[in-house]
Amino acid sequence: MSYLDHLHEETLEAYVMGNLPEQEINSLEDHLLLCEHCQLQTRHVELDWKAKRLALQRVRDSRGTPMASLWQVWEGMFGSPAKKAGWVMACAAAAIAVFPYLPSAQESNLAYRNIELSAMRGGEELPAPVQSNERLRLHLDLTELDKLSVYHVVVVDASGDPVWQADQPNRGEEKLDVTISKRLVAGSYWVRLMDTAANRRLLREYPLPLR
Amino acid sequence: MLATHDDTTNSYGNSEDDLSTIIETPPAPMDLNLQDLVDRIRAEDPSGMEDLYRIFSKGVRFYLCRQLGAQELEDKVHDTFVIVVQAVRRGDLREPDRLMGFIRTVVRRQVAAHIDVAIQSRREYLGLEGGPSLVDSSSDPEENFIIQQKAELMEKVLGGMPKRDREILTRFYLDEQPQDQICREMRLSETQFRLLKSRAKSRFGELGKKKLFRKPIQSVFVRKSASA
Repeated sequence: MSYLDHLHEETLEAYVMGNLPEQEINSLEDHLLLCEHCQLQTRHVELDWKAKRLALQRVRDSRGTPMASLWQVWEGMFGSPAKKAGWVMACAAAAIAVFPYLPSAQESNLAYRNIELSAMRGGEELPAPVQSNERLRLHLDLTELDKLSVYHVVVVDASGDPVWQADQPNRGEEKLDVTISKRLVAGSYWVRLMDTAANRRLLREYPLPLR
Repeated sequence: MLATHDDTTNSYGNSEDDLSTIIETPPAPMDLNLQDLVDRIRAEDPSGMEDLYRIFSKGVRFYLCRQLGAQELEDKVHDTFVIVVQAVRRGDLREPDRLMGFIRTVVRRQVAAHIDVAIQSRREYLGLEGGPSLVDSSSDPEENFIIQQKAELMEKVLGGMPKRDREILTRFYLDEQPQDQICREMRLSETQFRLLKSRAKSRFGELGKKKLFRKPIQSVFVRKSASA
């Protein structure tokens, strides 16, 4: 690829996604230094890519819920609306009868990835990257912190924008268990531990890189 | 008539047209006489520095803005050119043909240095809310709005796609799996994979155009308000 040639959209897509082979990046970036048209194309491709990721995440979130999965099975198995209505009522009745005996999904460790987080203090290694899109259960180290009955936990992305937050009661242990109900895409995150006072004082921050 | 955006200069320093009105591709950049350019810079000829800035400033600005956002962009662009000119005059650039690679290296080092400073600041200022941003580009409100709009359209298309097609796109764009892994596990050829991506892109585009024709005024008003 010569730096003089315009860039194909597929090449630009590979570039913005970080998939372009190293030997092609130099030539591509030389071209982008000079070509306003391809600079604009790169921007469009990047916006499209970010939009696709956002749309796919939303679709996954909406279809990943137990109710949505159940509905899809339903649609496939039972044809007529009348039959569906009948089965809905029957299943609802069965669910109500069984529900008190079901173990809480929150307490089960099987569906979650457990991660121990401790704060960075100059010289400590960042935790090894964790797979994105897994359900996460974080165990935040509270050593040397004032023990509160409730903490406010915020997960922020690389720009500092919150992506998840909740109040978390403390059971009086050295670690605070936090279950992140949202699946996070790959990227650099920070988990911020705050008190629940009006001014929300930041107590500690933990790095959380996801790949 | 398509809703068009006002012609404005965005943070990349480019004049921006509406997506759907880019029809003709301009000619590719012409080969540069780098020897002449470097000679003039070394000779402290003002035209050398002027041409250097004229030729490369948009590209440098584009690269820095994409990596670091719009914050302090002009300062960083200026610093880049100062470094390049000083290096050329010192004789650090032995081969004029390598000028572009040299500019590229200087820009990358600017980016790396900024990220190092931001990471260090984040560690030192742990008690402060926010702290320096590592990447500012995603906080561009106009860009966020465009992404949200596009994502809404894409979500509609994705919802109507076969589950298998959606899974392939999810693996590639969201889970960032390599293409060969996806093709192997989903039993696709490379051609089928590329065809699927093209089909999805085409459907995204069709729905986008339908929406644009239906509500052109909204797009113009949004643009007006963004530029206010």
